[in-house]
Amino acid sequence: MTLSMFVRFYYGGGIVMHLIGLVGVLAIISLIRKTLWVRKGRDVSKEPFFISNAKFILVIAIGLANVWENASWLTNILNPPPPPHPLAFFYHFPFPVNFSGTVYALFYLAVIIVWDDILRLVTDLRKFDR
Amino acid sequence: MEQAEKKRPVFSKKFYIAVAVAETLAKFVSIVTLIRVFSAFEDALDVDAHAGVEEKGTTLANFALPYMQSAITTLSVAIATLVVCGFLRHKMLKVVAK
Repeated sequence: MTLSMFVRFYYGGGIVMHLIGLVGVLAIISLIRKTLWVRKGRDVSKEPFFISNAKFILVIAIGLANVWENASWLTNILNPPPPPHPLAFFYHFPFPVNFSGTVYALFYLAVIIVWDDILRLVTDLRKFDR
Repeated sequence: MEQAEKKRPVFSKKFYIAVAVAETLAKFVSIVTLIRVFSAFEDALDVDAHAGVEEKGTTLANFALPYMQSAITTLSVAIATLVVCGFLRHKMLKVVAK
């Protein structure tokens, strides 16, 4: 399978978006678990969570998505993409519209960083009260 | 003993919250700036794809590069805030953990 055919099949960077979405969703599930632990008053500073790995994976994904999008951009000029598939919504799940992969990764990164920082602040403030 | 306690710097909780919030905001601003830079480049590439033969290649310089100058300034300020606030926060936590 040539790169052109592969990109046409997953046009719009579908596979990269799926991977980014998977990492983002897993990180958000991990953040919900961490939030519940923080609410119970547990010290989460030394507990392993997926969040730090997710941040690392998303930074790598930004680079990967850029390479992918440049490839699909060039391919789309040479061979215009086919009309949208009826199941095209699932290409960019859980987002309502088709953003670029880079924007997906950055969006997840922003949500994860801000949420994790709030949890860290709550945990740190308990140390001040002790 | 009393002298040692006097020497130990005391940080207020409010100051710690302010520093932590500033750090988070700086992270958020840098990510939003990056999103806008990527969007500007994508728009420029899109315009370039539909441009005439004579205009090809000029859209990036006309469209995205002027935006990059302000983006670099914003990113520099955000990263500087991040470094200063991170340093302060770690210092305060060290004192509190003692």
